[in-house]
Amino acid sequence: MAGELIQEERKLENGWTVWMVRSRIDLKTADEVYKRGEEIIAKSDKTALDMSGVEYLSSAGIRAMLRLNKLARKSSKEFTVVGANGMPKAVLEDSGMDVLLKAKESVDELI
Amino acid sequence: MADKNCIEGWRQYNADMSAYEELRDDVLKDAEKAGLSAKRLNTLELGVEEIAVNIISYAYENGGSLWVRTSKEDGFFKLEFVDHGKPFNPLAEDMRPTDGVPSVEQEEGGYGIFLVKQFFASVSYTHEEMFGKMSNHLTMELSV
Repeated sequence: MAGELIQEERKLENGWTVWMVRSRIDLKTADEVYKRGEEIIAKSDKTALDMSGVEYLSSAGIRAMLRLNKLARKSSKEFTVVGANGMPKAVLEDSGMDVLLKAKESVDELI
Repeated sequence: MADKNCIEGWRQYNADMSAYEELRDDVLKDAEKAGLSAKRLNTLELGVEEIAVNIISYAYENGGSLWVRTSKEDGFFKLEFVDHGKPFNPLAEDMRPTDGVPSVEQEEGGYGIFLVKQFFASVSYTHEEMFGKMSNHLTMELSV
């Protein structure tokens, strides 16, 4: 049912770490995504979760994002999401998470 | 649409995480046969995940069964869940703040039920006798 979870990161010149996740953020993968996010936030002041390659998002993924957002704020760091589309975008919008996380349409808006 | 462990179209599963993927895949296969688009299948999967995992996680203290039935009626794909666990109306669990935007300190639970209510055309709950015992019976409809 699901493709392999792929996670990649790259650093922009302005300090943002763009963390791309491909596949799904669901019950099965949310913990793995959270752990990777925890590691990235620990070493970066500004983290953007690039969801342009995410095809499915459930409340397990939302919980992971809420936890990462809290973690970042505790350390006075920034955490946001970029590039969500389709069903994941609808889930973020309907849950209000797009506003809370200051969601952006694309990585270009970080520059 | 069901074709195994059936009582009038109901499929029976152990309320255990080891049964979740089989349950989900059975429902999605039914939905494909009913003609749901890929986009609708994603929405349906969200509903299956949120409700089935909720039942598996909280309905029973010492294990039990959950029953699932699918049907297509009047342009809607209908999905029903039944369990014999403690009475629980998931529709009462909506954690979304009234202003529509969660706060930073928002509790992490409650989003699943809220999303199901948002994305499905209708969701209803009854506590009634089914399969010989008082049951939680949740019915969800998604337009095809």
